[in-house]
Amino acid sequence: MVSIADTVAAIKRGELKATDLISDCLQRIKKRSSINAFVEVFADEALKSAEKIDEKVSSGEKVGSLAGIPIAIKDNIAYKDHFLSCASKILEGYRSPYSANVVEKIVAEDGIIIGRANMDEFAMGSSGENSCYGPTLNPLDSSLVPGGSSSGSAAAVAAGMVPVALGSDTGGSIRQPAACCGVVGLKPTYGRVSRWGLVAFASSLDQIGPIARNVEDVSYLLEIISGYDKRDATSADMAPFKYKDVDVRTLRVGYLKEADEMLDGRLRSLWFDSIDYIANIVNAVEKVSVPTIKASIAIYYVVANAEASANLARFDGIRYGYRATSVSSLEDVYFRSRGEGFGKEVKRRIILGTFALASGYYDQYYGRAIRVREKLKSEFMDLFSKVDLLIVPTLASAPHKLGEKLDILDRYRADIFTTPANLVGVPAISVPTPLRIDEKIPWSLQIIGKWWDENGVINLASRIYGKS
Amino acid sequence: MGFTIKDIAYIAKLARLELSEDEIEQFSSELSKVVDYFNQLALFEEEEKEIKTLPSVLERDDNISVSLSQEIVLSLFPSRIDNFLVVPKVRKEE
Repeated sequence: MVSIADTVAAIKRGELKATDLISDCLQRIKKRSSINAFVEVFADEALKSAEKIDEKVSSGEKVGSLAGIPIAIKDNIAYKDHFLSCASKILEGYRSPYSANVVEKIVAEDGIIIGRANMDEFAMGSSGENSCYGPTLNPLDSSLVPGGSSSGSAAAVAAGMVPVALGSDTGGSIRQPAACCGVVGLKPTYGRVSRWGLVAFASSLDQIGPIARNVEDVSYLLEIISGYDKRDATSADMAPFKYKDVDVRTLRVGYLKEADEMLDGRLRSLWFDSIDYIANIVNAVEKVSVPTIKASIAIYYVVANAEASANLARFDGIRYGYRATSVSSLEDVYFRSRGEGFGKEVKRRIILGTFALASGYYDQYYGRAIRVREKLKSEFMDLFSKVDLLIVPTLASAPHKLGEKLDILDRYRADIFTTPANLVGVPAISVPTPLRIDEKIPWSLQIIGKWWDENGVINLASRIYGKS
Repeated sequence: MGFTIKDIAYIAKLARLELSEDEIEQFSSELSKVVDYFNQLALFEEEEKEIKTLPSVLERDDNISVSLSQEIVLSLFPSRIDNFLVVPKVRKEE
């Protein structure tokens, strides 16, 4: 598998044409269109951009560090003058009048936005089934879900349609589909990548990150998309990420004590095997406890839904997007546009969030959740005074069958290992290991680092997954 | 805690969200289970008292800067006459 860096180098030397690369990518997208990874492909536009890059190269002009690389963006990331739907009917017909900071950076480096990737509506879901465009299928086994909510981004990479895609991660939405599809996904530290132009779901948790076929490409894209942006008040005023080699044999790695009780059957034995596997790679492994991690799901679903209910209040049918017709009053426009525009899972979460913030319940749910979240944060601080990195599983259960009826709490509990990194704000990567859940799906491990230590998680991940 | 159909209808009203009767019925049973699950947060009541500081709210400087042009914003309106946004009548007939 050729890395992005090598591909760009070949384009710069004129050995590979960007137009050939894009044509090949478009063919692969077409060939596996039944996966439903894309909601829109910018075929003509991408070819035109590729032609310009080829012309620049042949005339000796300088090209950027993503020259000719096709990149899929999750459909909650704005791209100027292109449709943006969050896989929701409520944004029907909406074209974004501006580009997200990450898109500006990609385009400035001559990367080619190839299309909008399918997703769970408003990034709410862990299976890719909650989309107004229909579900995405898992390219490794089309009878299974690809995970979510960045379902199309992970599926497009896994199916070989694109080398890299952008997703967003509020409670595991990059790492979880990456694990289900056998690719690499990174949620950076909160504040590392600007969220300007990302449609807000839960503002204290959302973070944009890359999904790729290998760790090297994830790192490469992070170097480009990270860095301070004054338009995002939560963006950290620091230099962009820069990869450095670390000798992983010097690292102390903790493994989560509580994980045993949260897993069963095949996944539990894979977890034990992966601890042995890591022990052979690093300096030392030790069992570490984060007691409050068990409350992560409760904290997460209160905080995320409370923030979502406030963020999604802007979709009212008045200024943009879908508006219900034959309404009798202004209030009716709000009620009906939202009722007809949002899908069931989004409605469910708006109701939960509105409840958690309602007078009389605020302190019991939202107030309590944000205090317990601080407790979880302090446990992570203690933990990282003892170890350099923490390993936990990515998935709490194997990808389920497409369309399978699951209890609502079981669906929510599937995020138990991914939500803590969002609640605490630390970086986390999901990386496939040589172990396998079954013939088709590899077993992925999650590596969590201290705040701003993407370099540590990337180094251990590349040691696990190699450079290919 | 159990949500009644009336509770869900009331919350939906607060959220300005129209729900079908089926959705109200489905949510009342499902969300009762979810909120019961949230109640485990009460187990932290004692430890919560130790948590003194909560993250502060970041506020950006209130500076004037370039924004989207008026024409671009107007072009996104679902319904428009010249530079006006069209909405149904707000005042009720006497």
